[in-house]
Amino acid sequence: MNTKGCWGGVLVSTLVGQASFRRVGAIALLSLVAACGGSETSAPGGSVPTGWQPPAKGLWIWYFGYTGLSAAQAAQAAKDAGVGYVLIKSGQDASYWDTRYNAASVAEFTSRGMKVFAWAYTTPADVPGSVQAAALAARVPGTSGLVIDAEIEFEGGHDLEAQQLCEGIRAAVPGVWLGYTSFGWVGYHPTFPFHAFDRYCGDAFFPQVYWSDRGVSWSSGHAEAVQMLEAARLHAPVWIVQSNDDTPQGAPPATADLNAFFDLTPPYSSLWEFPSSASPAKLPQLPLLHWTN
Amino acid sequence: MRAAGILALALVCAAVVGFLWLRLSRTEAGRTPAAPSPQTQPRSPAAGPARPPPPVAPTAAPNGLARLDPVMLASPGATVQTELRLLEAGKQELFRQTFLRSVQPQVTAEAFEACRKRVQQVLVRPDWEMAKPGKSRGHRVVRVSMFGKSMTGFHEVDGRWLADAIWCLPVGLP
Repeated sequence: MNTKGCWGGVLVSTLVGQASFRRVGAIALLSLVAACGGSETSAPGGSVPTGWQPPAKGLWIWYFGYTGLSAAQAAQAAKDAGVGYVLIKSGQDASYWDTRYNAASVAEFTSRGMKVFAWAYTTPADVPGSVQAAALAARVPGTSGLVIDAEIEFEGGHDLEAQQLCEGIRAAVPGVWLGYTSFGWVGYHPTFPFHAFDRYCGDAFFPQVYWSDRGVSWSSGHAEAVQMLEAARLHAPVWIVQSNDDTPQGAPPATADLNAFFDLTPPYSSLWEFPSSASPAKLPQLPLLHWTN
Repeated sequence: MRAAGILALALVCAAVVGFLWLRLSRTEAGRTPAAPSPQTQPRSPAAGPARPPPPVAPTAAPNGLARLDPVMLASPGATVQTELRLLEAGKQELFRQTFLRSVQPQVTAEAFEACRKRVQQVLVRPDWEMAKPGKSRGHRVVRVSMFGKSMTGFHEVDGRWLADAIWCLPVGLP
């Protein structure tokens, strides 16, 4: 990650530690960060998928070490399974992981016909730093867009930070395709800034409808999530996510149930996550899923 | 001559008695009082405000409960492994000791059971490669993402690495 000589980054890092300054000056600083970030990378990201419909559903990847595969091996496994796009973690808050999310690893997927989105887990703790890290990921060649993963840390009145985060990223990477992911049953999280993310990061919303984790059927989990989304009056296109995590009883979700969810939610839905090498029973399930739209 | 001998003997006896008395009183004054145990010293409602408990040595066994061997908490990774073993073994009290003191009251029977279920449900493979070392209140801290999302801090306190959050509780469900 090249931040040397980045005056904006240094200034932001110095100033954001002062709580009183944080809210008052953040928007001005974000412009500085954007200017700094804009001078760092010459190559733009991949194509902006406005109106794009994936030929097949998506798969989330935490990191390749977790899967026990190299980027090339994971990409080949995803292609063989029929995955249409992948979302690869690019960093955490102000940290951009250039050893994991880089042009080479992205190219392993794009060269096999899949689109690649970066996702970054982000909290309100360091918005300027998170903007800078997210911008670096968004500019990695081959990247089609960026998804902000915002969860429990944003609950409790962080609307302003959500807005600053999204606006900062858009200022740093003009034209970026920018979505967000968070809790799947939005009605249970009244203090999460859904509307701020919807307005400023709303190229897509990836609700995590992890029905197996919750221990409910795929159909009831989906139905309640949809009903809550409608009640919330969000505007972002919904790219719904299900999980292959086990149920609270320790049973893996049935392939038929995962497929039923996918069949009901084309074309944008996706699966969390590319299984770990320590869960070998889950890997053979990937090619059995209904990826193709 | 005889009277002088008796006087000398009396003086020696007095000196011996005095010496023994002084030694005994010094021993009593220097003796450390035993730590009161809530189980053996029930408070009387009329006894007034309770005195603050005496400081407890780090290796003492509070309330007679067993304490974890520091080796089991010798690194953040060791603490996670210990936590997983204690969850599997159903040892809630020992599990509680793997967390910062401020967090320990949150380790209820309900939380313990939820954690026990959660670690059977999802694979626990912390992202040590991207863990962030730091300092907090003079302690070394290592922050790590346990499941790819929120970070959990492990704080080195008296040679033990203690978690600052009950990372194994399910988050955001529903």
